[in-house]
Amino acid sequence: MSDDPHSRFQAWLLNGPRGDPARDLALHASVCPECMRWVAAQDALSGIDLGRARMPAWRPTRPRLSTAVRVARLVAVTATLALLGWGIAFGARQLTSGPASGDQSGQVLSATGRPASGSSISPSTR
Amino acid sequence: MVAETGPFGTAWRLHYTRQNPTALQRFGEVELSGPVPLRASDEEGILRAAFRDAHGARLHGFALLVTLGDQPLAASLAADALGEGTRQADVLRHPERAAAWLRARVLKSTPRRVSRRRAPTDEGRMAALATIGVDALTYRTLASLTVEERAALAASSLEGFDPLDIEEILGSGARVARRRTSDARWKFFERHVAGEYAADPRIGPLGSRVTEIADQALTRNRR
Repeated sequence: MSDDPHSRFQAWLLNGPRGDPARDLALHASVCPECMRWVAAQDALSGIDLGRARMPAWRPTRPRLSTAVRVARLVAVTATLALLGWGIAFGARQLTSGPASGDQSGQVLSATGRPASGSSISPSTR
Repeated sequence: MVAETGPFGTAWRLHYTRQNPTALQRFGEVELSGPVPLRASDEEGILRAAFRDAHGARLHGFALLVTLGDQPLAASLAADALGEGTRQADVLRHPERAAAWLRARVLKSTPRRVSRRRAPTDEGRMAALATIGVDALTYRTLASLTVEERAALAASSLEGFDPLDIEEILGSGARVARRRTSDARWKFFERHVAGEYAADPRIGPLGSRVTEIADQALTRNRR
């Protein structure tokens, strides 16, 4: 470290001044325009007070749910969706699939192109 | 904490001391301006309110300095960090670690490049920073520093954080944090002094003290 009071005073300022400077440093600084500019910079810096800012606007946030509650919610939603999906699939199958084979009840007989087996022809049509 | 009974039921006056783990203040004690209307049973609410009141204003000031007076951005960054912090208030009990954690979040979210379209004007920035005591020359000096340098300067020189907390804020190791802090201080002084040449240096508290010490020394020598 230099013994030069100019460098020592600037080093004292750069390291964050605590308390008073040594007397020889103060004597030098008081007559050194360069050092007094450094002092002015330090005074400008210490004139800043972050605590004078106003409080930031409060953004209320919903409290975070506990893990157990979140898991329970996920299970409930999944179960509901599965049940709903199963219900839709079941209903759709009922609507689209025909009746069991051999059961022709409800079919339009004329569409088969021939009378149903075992049916008799009424005498009036002969 | 002191319970007070008012017209709307019991409210709590929060009083922080150095022994209180929810306190921020390294520079002294903070007493809230008035009773906080919270239910006595709402301990979590009390803790969160205490956290908000202890950290809010200084955190906003830090955000203002780091964003160089971009008021809407600073308010948004501070509010986000504070919201996240209050959710974790029961974990962030150590005041200085909590303060460092909040500043780290602000710094992490601060954009490194200024969007020209939505950026405030120089006048707007200066006006915002003037509220925390930044003068025109200091503003120009701060504007010549990077976001990280401003954060390092604020954390070390304005807030007096410990090296460990500065590491947390800057998100770097001990050596890098130390170098950034000393670089930031050096650049600030060098550029501020360069700006001061245009005008006579203004004598502030330290300037007066230096002159006083020198006068005393000279008077003693004359005797």
